[in-house]
Parts: sequence; structure tokens; C-alpha cells
Amino acid sequence: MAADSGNLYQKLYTPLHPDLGTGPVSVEPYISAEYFEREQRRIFDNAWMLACAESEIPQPGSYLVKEVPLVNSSVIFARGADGVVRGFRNVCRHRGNQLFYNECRGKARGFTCKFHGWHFALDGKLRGVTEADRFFDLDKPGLGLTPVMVDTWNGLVFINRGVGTVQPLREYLGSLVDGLEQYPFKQMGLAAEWKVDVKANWKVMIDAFQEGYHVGLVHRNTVQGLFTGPKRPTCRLSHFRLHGPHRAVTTPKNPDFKPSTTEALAFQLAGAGLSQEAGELHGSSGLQWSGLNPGGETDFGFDINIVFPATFIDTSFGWFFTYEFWPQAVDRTFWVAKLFVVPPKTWAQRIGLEMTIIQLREALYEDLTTLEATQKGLSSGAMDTIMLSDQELALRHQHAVVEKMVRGA
Amino acid sequence: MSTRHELKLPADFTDLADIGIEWSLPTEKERQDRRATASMPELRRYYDRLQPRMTAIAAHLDQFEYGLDQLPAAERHLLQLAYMYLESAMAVEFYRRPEPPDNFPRSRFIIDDIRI
Repeated sequence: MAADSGNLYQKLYTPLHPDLGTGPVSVEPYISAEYFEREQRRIFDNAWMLACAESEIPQPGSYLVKEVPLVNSSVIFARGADGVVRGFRNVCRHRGNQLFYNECRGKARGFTCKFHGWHFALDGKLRGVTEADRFFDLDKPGLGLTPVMVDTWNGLVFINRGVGTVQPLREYLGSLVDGLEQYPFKQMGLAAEWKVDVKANWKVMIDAFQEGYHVGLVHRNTVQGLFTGPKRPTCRLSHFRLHGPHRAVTTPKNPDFKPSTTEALAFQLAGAGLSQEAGELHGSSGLQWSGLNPGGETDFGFDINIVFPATFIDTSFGWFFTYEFWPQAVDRTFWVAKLFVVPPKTWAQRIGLEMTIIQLREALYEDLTTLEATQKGLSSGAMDTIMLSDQELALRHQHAVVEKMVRGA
Repeated sequence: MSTRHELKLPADFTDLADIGIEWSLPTEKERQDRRATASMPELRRYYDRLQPRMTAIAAHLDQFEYGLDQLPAAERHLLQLAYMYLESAMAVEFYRRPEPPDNFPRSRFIIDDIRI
């Protein structure tokens, strides 16, 4: 066994953060409706949350429309003629009809309501009103689409409910993203998008994705060979990095991974896959993969970067995936998972990419099997506390940050 | 003379038309659902027929410029058969059955089909 692997299994991370303690953690934040309301006021009223990537709306006129529970509204994200990314409520200022009835993507010169033809520019300004002279004192400049607070950092678009004092986005992200300023988010494209309305608290959901303790068992039918093996019997996340309310950690991979017949075929076609480092596909792109593996993990899989409260940006060579956890009720969260990759240049690469898409998707199904059952169990009153091991340090940190903000301590 | 609708495939792959007619599906969701509801013998048959052709399929498609709207209909069907092979591999190589037991309901998992 390599010395590094041995050190990994002797090292404990929790003692490095004595303020987080080692004791049981209260169940109340996961199940109390009153606690949920206080989180909304004290956290979500002015938190920045990931909405999409700039590469999804790459050109002037590009837009995408999605439901954003944070602002209780469907939102149009549009890149203006001036290149600026803006967000607007998907609501016509005439009589409140929606400009778009469904989530969608496209490119346009402006937005026209299908009820009476009111037309809005890409920057939200009201440009056209059918039979405007039949209105009384129509304040056109004041009737632009209602903006929502949107900002971008290095190719990622964030949204804020904007209640009270809002920290500028870059300041909010702080040291969490210092190392990722050159990571090429902008040059990577959306490969897959999956959405689920889950009957679980947002923190129950996040807990399941910020530890590797579950991997060998929950993912035993899919990706457990990628992350566990003789040198790594469990997938322990390593090099926990706390950045104020945010946190980051590294997922190691199994150095003895043996691909199945089809995995090997897909790697050969794509030049890369879930477990591969930069291969032909990514190496040929000329992109620099800076900011990865700041802890120097021997067998690097991917980094998990969590922007408080509820955004995951998981980065690796040639691919990253994001999770958006949108709280809807104490026991309900709308989850959006997206995979981004260096765009394929050949059909062989695209076929290989499909295997990565399928495997990631199937692994997410496996994660989903535990969430609602956990919420039910916690809500039943069976226990007042949960137990957290050293490798569940991220859960302890999240609990502490949320408690501090909710209690106003 | 057959009145059955024939699957259009490139000349080098017409041998797959008989099995392809049931498995050429245009979206990820349809392919996922087809795999989850098929029988294991069906999936095994599909997997065994497609596996030896996968490299040739990729080589054939690589003659066409990459782009989601660049492929003629015959090549598009061939691509869909290749994607379906990968889906079938989840059943044959990993689950050893069409679908894991007690899986999260497929109907609640929304799959967007807009991508690069």
C-alpha cells in the first residue's frame, strides 16, 4: 500500500476544527417548519444560488427559462445585445400572463407575449404595445419586465432573492473560488440536465452528496468500482477545506479500477470518462485545468465545491457537474443536476460521452433512494439526534453554519 | 413482400435493421425506459448483436461532421442504436437485470433532452 494511502486512513480531519465539536447533531433543523421559515429569512433572503452557466446562453439573444423556487417564479435568463446577462420574471406587465408557458431555451431578438402581443427587448424594456393609444397614461419606461438580481462569476450565473443587504457575488464567494478563477467553465457545454421534486429537506439532500461514506454501498451496482477498491475500502473524501460558510473537499478515486467491457469501449471512443484524467478529448482542447485538487490527493477523482447554502460545483479534468437544491418546504426540495463537458468534436467522442451521462444518471437514481426515506425517518420522532463520523465533517460544518445564521448567534 | 416498416440504416449496417427497428429511440428518456421495461433475454440479445459493431459504428459516423443536426436519417438511427447499446450495458454488465429493485420511480426523474 502506498504511503499516501496509509496516511489517508490514519488522518482525522475533525480534530483540526475543534469549534465544530464531535457530538451528536440535532434533528430539529431537518424537520421543523418553523426552523425552515427562519432559514428563509436569515439565509435564503439574500443568498446567492447557482441558476445556470453562461455557456448555456452564449450569444446576444440567447435565453433560457426555468422555474426558480427561490423567487417563487419562472425566470427568463437572457443575454442582451450588449452581451450582459440579465434575469427577469417571466411575467408580462400588461395582465400577468407568462411570456413562456414552459421551461425552454432559445435565441431571440426580444420577447412577445402571446396574449395581446406586448413586446419586450432583451434588456427587459417594453418596446411594443398593441393599440397603445387606447391606454390611459401608459408609463412605458416603467413597465419593463420585472428584473431579478443576477450576477456572474467566471462563466457561472447566480441569482439572489435580494431582500435586505446583499453581498456582491465575488465577495460572497470569497476564498472558496480563489483557485478556480481560471477554470474554464465558459468553454464547457451542457451535456445532461436532470430534475427531481424530492420529498426531503434541502439539508438532508446536501448531506447525502457531501460524504463518500455511502459510496461503496449505495453505488454498489454502478460506480463503486470507480471510487472503492483494495487500497480504498471506503470512499473517504479528503482534504476538507472550510471557507467561512462555504466548504470544499476532494473525492479520491480507486487506483485499481478495472473498467467493464463497455466502460473500456466508451473510454477508448471518448478519450475520457468519469474516472479518466485529461485524455485525448480534453488534452486536445488546449484548456488549462487550474484549481483542481488543491490538497494534492494522490488518486484524484473530483473536487466538491459547495457554495453556501445550496449550490454544488464539482470539478475535474474535462468535466464538471452542478447541483442546485431549491428549498420548497421543510420536507420538499427541487433538485437540478447538470453535467458539463468539453464539447465533443467527433461522433466517437459523443458516443463515449453518452456512457458517462448514463452512468452518472444511474448513480443519481441510487442516491435518490435514500433521501425520502431518511426524511420520513427523521420526521417520525424516532430520534432527536444524528451521529456524524470524521468523514461526515462537511455535514457538521453545514449544521454549524446554518445554526449560527438561524439563531443569530 | 413485407408491409412492415423498415428501419433505414447505412448500407454497411443493414444487418442490424431487424433488431434495430425495436430499439432505435431518439431520446435519453425513451432509451432509459425501454431498458428498464425490457426482458433480460431481449437486452442480452441486443447487447450481443451491437457490441461487435460499436467500433465500426463510431468509425462510420466519424465520416460526418459532428453536430446534432448534421446526420442524415440513416446515420441518426445508427447513432441511436449505439446509444441504446450503452443503455443495455447497464443491465447486462452492472445490474444483471433490466432494472435495480426498489429504484426511485423513473416517472419522477425529469430528463431534459437539450444538450451539446
